[in-house]
Parts: sequence; C-alpha cells; structure tokens
Amino acid sequence: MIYSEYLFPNDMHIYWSLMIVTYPFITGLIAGAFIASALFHVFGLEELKPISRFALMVSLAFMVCATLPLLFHLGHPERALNVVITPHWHSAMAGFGFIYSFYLVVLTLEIWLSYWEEIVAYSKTSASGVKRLFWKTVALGVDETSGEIRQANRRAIYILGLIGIPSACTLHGYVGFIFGSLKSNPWWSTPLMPQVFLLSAIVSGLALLIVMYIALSSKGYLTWSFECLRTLCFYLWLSMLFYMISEGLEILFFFYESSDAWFVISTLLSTKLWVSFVLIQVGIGIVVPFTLLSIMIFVRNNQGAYTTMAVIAAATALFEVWMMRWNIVIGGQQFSKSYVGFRSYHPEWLDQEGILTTMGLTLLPFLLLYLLTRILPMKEAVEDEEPPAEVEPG
Amino acid sequence: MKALRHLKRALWIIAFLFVAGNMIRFSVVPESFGQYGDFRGAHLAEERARDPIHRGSDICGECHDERLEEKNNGAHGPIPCENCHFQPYAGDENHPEAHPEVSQSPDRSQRACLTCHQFFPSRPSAFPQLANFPEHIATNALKLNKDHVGAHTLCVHCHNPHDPKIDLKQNG
Amino acid sequence: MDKKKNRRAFIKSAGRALAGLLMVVAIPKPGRAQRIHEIEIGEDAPDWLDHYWVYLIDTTKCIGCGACVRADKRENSVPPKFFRTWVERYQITEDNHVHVDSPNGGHDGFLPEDLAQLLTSVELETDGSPQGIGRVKKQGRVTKGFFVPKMCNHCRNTPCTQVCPVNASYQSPDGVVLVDKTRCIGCSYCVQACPYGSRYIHPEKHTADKCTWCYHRITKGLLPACVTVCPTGARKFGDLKDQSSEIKKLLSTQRLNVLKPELNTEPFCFYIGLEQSVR
Ligand code: SF4
Ligand code: SF4
Repeated sequence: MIYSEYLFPNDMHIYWSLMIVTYPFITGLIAGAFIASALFHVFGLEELKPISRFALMVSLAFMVCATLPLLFHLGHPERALNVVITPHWHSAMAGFGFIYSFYLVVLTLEIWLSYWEEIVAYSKTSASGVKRLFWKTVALGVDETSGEIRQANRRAIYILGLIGIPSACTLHGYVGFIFGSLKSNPWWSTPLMPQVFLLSAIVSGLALLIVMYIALSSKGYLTWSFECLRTLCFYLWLSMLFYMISEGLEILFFFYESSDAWFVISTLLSTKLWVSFVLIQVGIGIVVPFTLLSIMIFVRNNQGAYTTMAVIAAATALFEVWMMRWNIVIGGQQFSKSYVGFRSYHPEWLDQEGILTTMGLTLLPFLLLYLLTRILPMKEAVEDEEPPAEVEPG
Repeated sequence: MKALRHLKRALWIIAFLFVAGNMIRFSVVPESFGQYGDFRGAHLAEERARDPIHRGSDICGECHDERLEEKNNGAHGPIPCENCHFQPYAGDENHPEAHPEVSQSPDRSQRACLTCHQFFPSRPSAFPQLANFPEHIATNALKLNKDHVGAHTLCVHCHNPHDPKIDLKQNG
Repeated sequence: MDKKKNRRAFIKSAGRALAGLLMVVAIPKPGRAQRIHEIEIGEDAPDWLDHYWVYLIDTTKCIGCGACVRADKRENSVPPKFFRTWVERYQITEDNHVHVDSPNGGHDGFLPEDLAQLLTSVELETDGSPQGIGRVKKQGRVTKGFFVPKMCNHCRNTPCTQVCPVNASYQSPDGVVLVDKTRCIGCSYCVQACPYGSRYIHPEKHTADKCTWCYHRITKGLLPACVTVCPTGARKFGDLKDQSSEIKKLLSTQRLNVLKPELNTEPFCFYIGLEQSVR
C-alpha cells in the first residue's frame, strides 16, 4: 500500500528541541571526562597522569551545567523538583534526580580528595583571613597532610573511581534508555540505544580532553607528554570503533528486519536526515576522525604531525557526537506517529530554547571551568614532600 | 585512625544532607498522594468539579417543547439541539440570559447541511447524501419553491431542519 | 496452564525488581490492576470506584460530520490547532493508494475550502459521472472509503503514564487516563510516548493535555460530549461494571479491533469495522 503524506493533527510540533540535543551532549562530556580520569585512578594508566585531575574538573564543570538545558526546556521549571518529590519509578526520567545527585556527590568527593594537599596548604598560607577561613571550611577543619592521610586519600579515590565508573555508565546509559524504551518511536526504540549513547559519550569526553589538553599544554598550563596524548587518542579510536559498530548494527537490523520501522527510517534517511545524518554525521563526523585516528596509530615519532591530526580528529569527533544527538533527538520527531507524514524543525535564534540559548549553555561550562582553575591548579599532584605553597589561590 | 578524620566528617555531612533532603522531600508530597494509587487523589475530585457545557435536548424542551417533539419525531430525532444551535463559530449572542452559549439562530447556510449530506465516497452509503447539489436544486427545488431557485438557494427554504423529510407528492 | 501463568508472573515480577534496582531506591509497587481491586470501598466511597469505563467506535456508521470535534472543542476549551479527538478520512483508490486527511482535525467537516465552487459547478474534477467528487486528483477512482474518529484510547498498558516522571499522568481507578495539571512539569515525555498522537502540550498552560472522556460529565451520569452529539451513534460509551449496559452487549457480540494492536498498549477504546490500512 502506498500512503499519501499524512500527519496526525496533534503531531505538528517538535517538542523536544535544541535543549534536548544539548542536554545529552553536555551529559556525555561528563561521563567521558570522568572515564578518562578513572583510567588513571582505577586502572593505573600512568600515561594519563598529566590530565587525571584536570579531567575531574572538566567533569564537574559540565556536571553543574547539565541540568540547565532541561530547566530551559520544561514547561514548568518551577516544578522541576517534583521529579524527586513524587517520582514515578516506572519512568526512566524519574531516576535522573537520584542518579545525578549521587554522581555529583561521588565527583565532588573525588575532586576534594585529589586536591587535599592544596586545600590544606591554602588553609594555612592564604594571605587574607577570609580565604584561610574558606579553605579551612573546605578542609572540614582538618589540616594534616601526613603520609598516612595521603595513603587513605589514595585508597578513597580508588574506591570512588570504582563507584564512579558504573554511575557514569548509568548516568549516560539511562539517557539512552529514555529514548530507547519508547515503543511509539521506531527511530528510537532499540535496545542498542543506551549503549550507543554511552559509547558516544566516551567519544565526546575523550575528544574534548584531547583538544583541551593540546591547547592548554602548549601554553604550559598542563604538563606536556606525548605518551599521554597517544593514550587518549588510542582510547578515542577504541571507543569510536565500538560506537560505530553499535550504530551500524542498529541501522543494519532496521534494514534487514524491514518492518514498519524501516519504512519510516528509510524515508527519513533519504529525505529529512539525508544531509544531517548520512552526509554530515557519517560522511564527515565518523569517516574523518576514524581514518585519522587509525593512521595515527602508526605515527610514532612525528609529534607535530600527530598533534595536528589529533586536533582535527578530536574536533570532528566532538562535532560528530553533537550531530548524532541532533539526528536522534530531532530526527526522531521529524515524522508523525502515523509513520506516513514528515515535518521540519527550524530552531529560532532568540527563542527560549533557541540557538543563542544553546550556544550560551554550551559555553557556560567552559566559563565555570575557567573559574575553577582560578581556585585550584590544573596540573597533576606534585609527588614530592614539599607542599605547593608557591601557588597562590585566585 | 586519625588519618580518616576528614573522611569521617565528609561522610557525616553527606549523611546529614541525605536525611535532611529526604525529610524535606517527604514533607512536601501532596497530602492525598497515594490515596488511590500513584497520583494525587484529590485530582479526581478536581477534574470532576468542572461544569458540563452540553446539557442535552431535554433542557431545551423545558421551554421549547413543541419544537423538541417535532424534532424527535422526524428524521433528525437523534441529533441533539446543541449540534446546530450551539454557536457554530464563536460570536453569536442571540440567546443571552438563560444559556449564553446557545444561539437561537444557527448556521442556516448550505455548508451547515452539506457538512453531513454532501456525498463523499467515505460516507456510509446508506446515509442520505447529495452527489450533485446544483442538480438537486434544478430537479427538485423547482417543483417546490420557484422563488428561491438560484445560486442562493438554501436547503432550509424547502426542508424544515427539525423535520427535513418532504413528501413530494403532497407538496408538488 | 497454571504453570505458564506462574512463570509469566515470575518473569513480570523479576522484570519489575530489575527495573527497581536500576532506579536505585525503588520501592516495588503492586501493579495497576491489582491496586484497583485492593482499594477498600469505605462508607463515603467515591463513585469512581463503582465504574469501569469503556469506549466503542463504529467506523461503519461515522459520516465524518465533525460534530464530535466541535463539541469537544467547546466542552473542554481545547486550544486551536490542537485536538482531543479528531476524525480522519480514508480514501483508497483502485491502484491501492491510501489517501488520508483530516483538515483541521475534521472540525469543519470535510467540505473543500472553496464551497462555492462545489455548489455551483457541476463538473468538479469529474469524468462525467455524477460521483465526480469521488475521485482523488490524478489517482483514479476511490473504491473504498471510510471515516475513522480518533482520540485517546485510554490504554490499560499505557505507555504515556509509564513514562511520566512525576506521576502527573495516571490512570484513575475507573479506567480513565488523566493529567494532574498542578503537578505536570511539561517535559512532554508522555507526548513522545503516546503512539497515537493523542497528547499535546497546552500552548498556554504549558502542561500536557488530552482527552479525559469528559471526566466531569461521566462522573455525573452524563455521556462524553462527543458521544452526546454524534448523530449516527458511531460513538458509544459505557460502564463495564454495569451488567445490563448496551456497551457490554456490543463488546461481547461484535468483532472488535483496536489501533496498533502490535504495540500491546491494550487500548480501551474499541473499534468496529476498522480497516487494516488505518494508521
Ligand atoms: S492513547 Fe496515548 S495518551 Fe491515550 S492512554 Fe494511550 S498512550 Fe496514553
Ligand atoms: S509532560 Fe507532564 S504529564 Fe507528560 S510526562 Fe511530563 S510531567 Fe508527566
């Protein structure tokens, strides 16, 4: 049977807008950055040491901003806390408040412990009394940095990292679950969705770290180490590989099963998503970074070329993940539930959920990160006995 | 054990926040929540409280009993008065006091009748419908009411909407 | 048989436990159906515990006049361009093309915009046959046609209340899916989850909105507005707990179908004469 174009009368609107594209993107950066630091703290990947503490800070900065797009999106942001007051346990979205706060606690603790020595040092050496008081409060009135404490801290960080990995996976897997569990929408409804979201989160987090690491270490804010970059790039390549397999399998199964879903998806891919998915996301976003990263595995000595390629690969990978969020969130709403009607989405510049808000919300974490680095140093912990007293807090 | 002092303090703070947060959380749950299930029970009564707008034909019959009887005995019997007498499109204020939302003079245009009686292949074939309106006028209307024949002929010129059937033999 | 049932119950509860674990602190709650029967009916039992509503649409009787859509708009102040109920027109041509449309939800009937043309011209897209209007442009003769009124199906296994994070969308004890507008946060997750397009976000209230089966009418002994105004009796509504009701008889004797049965939403809005091409 051939259908004429028909949308259900209520299906004229796209309710999940740019904000819902931004939200999983920012959340993904948290999970990715966290996993990078876990590779060092838990799995003992020594190469990643120069970035381990900084990665945590990146995580925190994005974590604090992750809820903002949601608030901008809600029809009644003032009721947002209803999600934890009367949560509905059958709803994937209800878990958000709890998973989020749990993860925030784990992350804050981990940062607190990794900066323990600096915190104690500041509480003693800061110039003004107010600052000393502030740091004393942060140190909870404890001012010891003995070897014993250090060991305890190290163990605690290890445990926190151990707890943090599954919670990072949950935080991001569940965002995928929100989409993947809707049987009403063939473009979303697949058990691979949580996995695709998690893997793309790791891709985006690592890519962001790579870009920032290259930029900041060239200015001397972070300790440069070629091995560190190589390791990051290798894990980016690996997560990208798994991500590609998942995403590819998803489409392959839709195609091969050739059910009602494929009828919608094939039309989507050849019309509304032709440019944004096929040409941009796959054609540029996946092919370019993956090819570069594969070549880079064989580049051993030419640091300059390697770094250039790394920047391009990481930037396109970041872009790819953003496009993937767009294609899933917006693409999934570009057809009516009748499956035979399609609609377009044109974001406004000045809308509450428009382009300017999106840019603002994407830049906000970077501002926050800047402020954080004014308070705490970016570089890795100094191993020697001397407290880093020369670092004056901002 | 002295080494764990700061960790212990942190844990106490977290425990305190957890308990306090949950106490606040539970204290702001609406009272009737959970009364009948996972929702605010009082909402059932709130949803019920609204006044119905469509009151049915019997209310009209309290004043217009003859009209109602006429309608009920005719082919339009199953149609409630409100279908035509409700302001079809907002702006009519003919029936102000007793029931402001009802208008005395409904839409008398051809559109109002054809909404039901224009032929569409999707309509059940047993339902009386007109495939060709101008032809209908040309053949039937002429016999009944010559004055009104033309582009402005209204259905109601010949058909009484309350009892639309016309016995052509009798009238013709 | 019993064993099978037990197994299914076990799988169900295991699934629920797993979902609960995932939700970190879940307190397992009994299923919906159980809850309804467990509720104690006290002295001042509200009457919503005495009923279990069900809706039935006979597509073979619908003439597509749109009276229901108009009544619904008035009764429930439905905002323009949104619909709690709507009527679709299906026209299937000889060459198996399915033409579906629902201009303004069927609110103004299905007459063409330019009514004057219809009224004065004898040869409207015709091939000379008096049924000229029966042709869909360029696609050949319509061999099969019908109207399908649609609305919220008040599903039993409802995907929309399942996803509401704050319990604002819920199923009432008498089987009506309602939205508590004082708790809804306007996340529109339920709009995404409904496979039938029955929900929308109210453009002014910014909360989810949908058909309530006219809860304010049915709990007072009236019929929903759309049922009241339907001139041909295509829409039927009734109480399953009322043993002598007409709807009970129809449901037990007619051949029924529901929309998108493959999704297992268990709609409680049944259809008579539903064609397989209906989306
Ligand atoms: S039809 Fe849609 S809105 Fe109505 S109960 Fe089913 S899923 Fe919910
Ligand atoms: S829009 Fe309102 S009713 Fe719908 S899922 Fe969100 S909170 Fe629940």
